[in-house]
Amino acid sequence: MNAPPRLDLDAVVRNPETRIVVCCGSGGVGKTTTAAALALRAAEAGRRTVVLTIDPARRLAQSMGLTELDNAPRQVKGVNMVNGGELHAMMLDMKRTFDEVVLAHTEPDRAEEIFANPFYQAMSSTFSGTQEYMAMEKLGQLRAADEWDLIVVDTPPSRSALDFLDAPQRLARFLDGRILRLLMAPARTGGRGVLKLVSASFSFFNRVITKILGAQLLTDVSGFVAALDSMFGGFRERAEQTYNLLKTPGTAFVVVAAPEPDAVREASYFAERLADERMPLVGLVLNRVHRTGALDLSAEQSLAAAQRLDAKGDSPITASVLRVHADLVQLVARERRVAARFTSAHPHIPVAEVPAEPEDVHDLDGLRRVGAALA
Amino acid sequence: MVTGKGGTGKTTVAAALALALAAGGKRTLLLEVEGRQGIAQLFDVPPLPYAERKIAVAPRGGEVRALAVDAEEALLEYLDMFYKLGRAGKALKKFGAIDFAATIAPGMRDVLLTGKVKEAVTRTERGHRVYDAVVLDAPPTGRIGRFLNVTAEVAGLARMGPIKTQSDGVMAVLRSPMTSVHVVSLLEEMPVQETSDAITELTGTGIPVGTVMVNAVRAPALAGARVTAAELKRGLTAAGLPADKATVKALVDEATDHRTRLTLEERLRGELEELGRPMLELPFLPDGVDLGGLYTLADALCEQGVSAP
Repeated sequence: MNAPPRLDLDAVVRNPETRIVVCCGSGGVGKTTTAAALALRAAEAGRRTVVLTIDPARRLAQSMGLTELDNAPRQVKGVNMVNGGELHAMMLDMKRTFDEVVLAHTEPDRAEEIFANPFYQAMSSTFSGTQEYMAMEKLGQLRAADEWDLIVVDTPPSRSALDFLDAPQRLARFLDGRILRLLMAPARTGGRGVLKLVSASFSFFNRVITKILGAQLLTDVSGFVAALDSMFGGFRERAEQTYNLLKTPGTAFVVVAAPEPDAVREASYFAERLADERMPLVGLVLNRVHRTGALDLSAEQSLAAAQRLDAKGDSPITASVLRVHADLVQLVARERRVAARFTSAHPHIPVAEVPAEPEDVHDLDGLRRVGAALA
Repeated sequence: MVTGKGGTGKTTVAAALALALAAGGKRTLLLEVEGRQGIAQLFDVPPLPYAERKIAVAPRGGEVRALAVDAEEALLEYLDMFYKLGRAGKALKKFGAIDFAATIAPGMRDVLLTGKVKEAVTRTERGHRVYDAVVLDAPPTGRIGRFLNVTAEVAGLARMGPIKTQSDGVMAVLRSPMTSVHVVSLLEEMPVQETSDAITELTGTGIPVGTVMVNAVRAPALAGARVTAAELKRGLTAAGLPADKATVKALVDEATDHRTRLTLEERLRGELEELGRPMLELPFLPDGVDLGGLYTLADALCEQGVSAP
């Protein structure tokens, strides 16, 4: 089988036309590390770069000077700036971003009312789509500010890579949606806190909800919905704007995976989806790939030789080393088979491999090594 | 309850635990709640419907049943059971009420899911519990605290009424000695960190923490051994293998990496031990996880003393 083309991300992040790089992939594949490594690489090549991370590992965050949720970018120290670039990093504060959206779309009094509602509090601090929506929102804000040569985005740690594309619109649809409009009806027609009977089926629906939820809770929902009234349309419009931004030529998607079946399957879905949406995928980053320098020495050969040594009682150390090598060769072979599921389905998508290291990356030097592997 | 960082093999370990607990003529129920159909994939069967199905026989007799819990179905069942509201459920579905509730208050969805777990745990037939043990493939460590701490999640939303009553009932079972949350980890940095964070969080909510289950443990080959190029060259020649410079160098490098890894694993194992929870170990399966591998893992758990009460 032909090897896939090699992905050169250096060319992508150095290209002045590239303004946004989005790192996507399922959870636990090293998206954050990839995003940080690419941003550092771009900054050290002379671009004014910002990386938006969602949920970085503690030590990696510390190495970039990110000690708390902080909704504004901060400059990262220890970056080589001889080429005139800079690296700034920020961790997404989901709740604060949500608050900002509300404030931007409504009167201060109304905003206070919304902030105080228990439903708003629950919704703005939990994960069902809110995180994705707010990541897109923040990306839109950073791009609109036009202060950066390059914005690198790490996507939320969702189960599915597709969530990053779908969740914002799901949330927007919900906030502009039918149920809310139904619940809104009383507020619009002047009834306060009591749901009016807008239709026979709705009245039935209403009775059921009251029975299950209790009247107090319904009053809160109704209040929340009424307060959101002024923002209808706003959520969807913003989600659509950012979505369209992702289709512009200045955006480059990088799909990240580890050589494991689930991660590679997700990466495949994602690549197909991007193609359907005509969104520009530049390639696949395969993280934590194992390698051996003695590929000719097969696992079977090694194990048989180890047994011969055991039988002779000769060089137990060589026997152990051969067994370690046999495990590694098998692992390398398995990873290749898994990776081939992607490369045979998408033979034209370039691939960059990052070798597995015994320890996790948690400093700028580690990020530089990853960046070099991606170049 | 089995939780763990994503990628640690939480679903696999939950399935192995359900098999181990069913060993010797018991009956267990394996549940999933995240709509992934992970159990069906693991046992290589078609997607699970919302019905308890026998999915495997356990070692030395016994059976494992499985169910993929769906919040909508759980709600319909609940409405039917407590309010005799068959039609109402359909209306709720039509209006998208469940999605609505899940979006503005994910805690409510969790009450439905954990409510189903409680129902299965406490269900009796002719005075006997239907299941000797119920194993939940729970959400990952990042979400487990919120998922299980249902009362706190809905407290701000429902100060009285049926949701409050239901969440209090679920919480009572979750905090009782009937419950045990096991945390799956690997001997890698992030999973160990998340295991520690999850145990701290769960302890704070009063939900009993069970064991730390260390997955994919490899035999510590080469521990303490000194590998030199000269010794390898001699050994390879004695074994009748090529002993050229490149091969020897590659093998020495691999041995060095392997030992770096072992040292790191030892340190991480120490960190897990310091958490003060009983530890169970599951062997690394070189061929990946298949049905046979699940039984290997279940046997390993049985050998370490895992059994249903």
